[in-house]
Amino acid sequence: MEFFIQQIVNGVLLGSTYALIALGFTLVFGILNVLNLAQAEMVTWGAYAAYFLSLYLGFSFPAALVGAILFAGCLGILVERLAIRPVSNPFKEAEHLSPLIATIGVGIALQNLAIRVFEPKGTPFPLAFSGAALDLGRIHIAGGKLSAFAISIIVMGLLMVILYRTSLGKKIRATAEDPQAAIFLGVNVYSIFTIVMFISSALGGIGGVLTASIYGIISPFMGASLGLKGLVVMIIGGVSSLSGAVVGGILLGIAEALIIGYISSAYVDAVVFGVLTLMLIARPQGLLPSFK
Amino acid sequence: MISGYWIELLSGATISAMASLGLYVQMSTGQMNVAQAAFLGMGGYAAAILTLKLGLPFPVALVAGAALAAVVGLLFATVVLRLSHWWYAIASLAFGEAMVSIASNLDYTGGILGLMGIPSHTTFALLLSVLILLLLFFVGLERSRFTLGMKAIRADETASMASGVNARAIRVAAFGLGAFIAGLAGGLHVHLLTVITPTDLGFHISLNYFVNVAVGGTRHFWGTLVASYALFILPELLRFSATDRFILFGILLVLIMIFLPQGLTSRRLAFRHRPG
Repeated sequence: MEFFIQQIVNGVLLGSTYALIALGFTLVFGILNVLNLAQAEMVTWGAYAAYFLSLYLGFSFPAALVGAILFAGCLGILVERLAIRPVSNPFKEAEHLSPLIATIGVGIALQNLAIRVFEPKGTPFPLAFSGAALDLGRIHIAGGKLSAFAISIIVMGLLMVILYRTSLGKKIRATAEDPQAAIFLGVNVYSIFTIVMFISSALGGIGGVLTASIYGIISPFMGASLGLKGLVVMIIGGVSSLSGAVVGGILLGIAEALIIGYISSAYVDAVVFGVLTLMLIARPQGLLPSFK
Repeated sequence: MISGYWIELLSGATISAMASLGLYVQMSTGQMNVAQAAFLGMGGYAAAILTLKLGLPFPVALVAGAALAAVVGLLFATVVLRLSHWWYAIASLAFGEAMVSIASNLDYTGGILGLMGIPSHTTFALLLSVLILLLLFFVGLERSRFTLGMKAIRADETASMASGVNARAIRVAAFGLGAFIAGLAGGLHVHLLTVITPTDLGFHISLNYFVNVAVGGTRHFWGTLVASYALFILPELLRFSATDRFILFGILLVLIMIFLPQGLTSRRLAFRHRPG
């Protein structure tokens, strides 16, 4: 029983980072009507931004995290301006492939740029968490995972406050509902797209920094695998459901932890993707309703 | 004379073209398959096991591999039939990644290391002959009722069904055909490279074929053919280091989408459309 609870706890802690990355996918999909595959690279670049800020400028963890947020966010704005806006029509349901392919192109370019500029084999991450572990009876929680979980929760809380308690959030939700109507109501939807890309990419960047801090290593390929998980989570939750992305992330984390604990780590992907296929067939609208 | 380097390059491009043509048939009926590499891999693994471990003749192994991919393809398409675009893409993504994981865990696929020392049977001449046969088949197919049905589905699925087109059967058959072609290409590929590993089945490989069809456009298969060769050879022609090539390739992909959003076979060059 202790082992079971231990695995659930590990899963919840792991899942919170997946949820952050998935929220980035969900926001862009819900508001810009684009499946932004470049999101995966925001994870990598966010982590490297924190790495360089710490290594060369001696930034502490909080300062490096803020730096990574700004860097990934601005990179996201560039992606929106240069690759998404010229090819997409946010006033129609996403039917064309061109915005998707354009973000794939950006992803390929950014990943290879990372491979070229950084050490492809990976580098130790200087800001790895070293908090004291928490022991609750026989349940053991590593300090790093707990800190990452706390930061994820704070970030998600801030996101909810922005979306549901501010006038900016109201404009974002109006744009998600109907961009044409939002324009008539005086919302500058293009500046909303810019802001949403900033927020989404920043979420990816935070996910990258937190993952790097937990495992103590970064590589140019980290985004590709975490991005794929974020995408899976977004689908599990229902493509445009924020709470779905959070619940989906936690569920994926728990599923992975249980499979690793009881079956074998080799079967994680087979089970996760098998369950995802079945879920799509049984409940294609996702677990929770859309935020629109 | 063509040098060995070019033969190698063109062989790779020809296999990419076959896989993409198979995907073209599927995407023509609105089935966004992002797991084409998994179907290549199924054909490849099956054919390799048959020649390497059971010593069966190469042509038999090729056909058996393609048939396996086709059967799995038909089953997959039947199961995910009612999903539409995004969902379809994600279901196929999940399916493809599950295949990678299965191939990494089975004993007779060689686990994570995959299979090595597969007999080298595939020649460039064989690849070209298969491609030409495939293209002849596609030209013939263009005039068939099957293609007419596919075009009707693409134009308007509901209207086509109201006019008596059996959209479901056509979609499933199109998927099976595409998977068969992929399985064949996979069988040829492993007997060219003599190795196969589970990562060859992954999403990132499938994306290449997906991009070929998207860049070529689903209006006509010639677009896919040209895009497959161009996008395979182009990164090689941009003679920088491997990573530099892919950086430029990514940027080029964005530019192609900006100026040719419907792909190479679009009717006219599009200019930036900014609505509102």
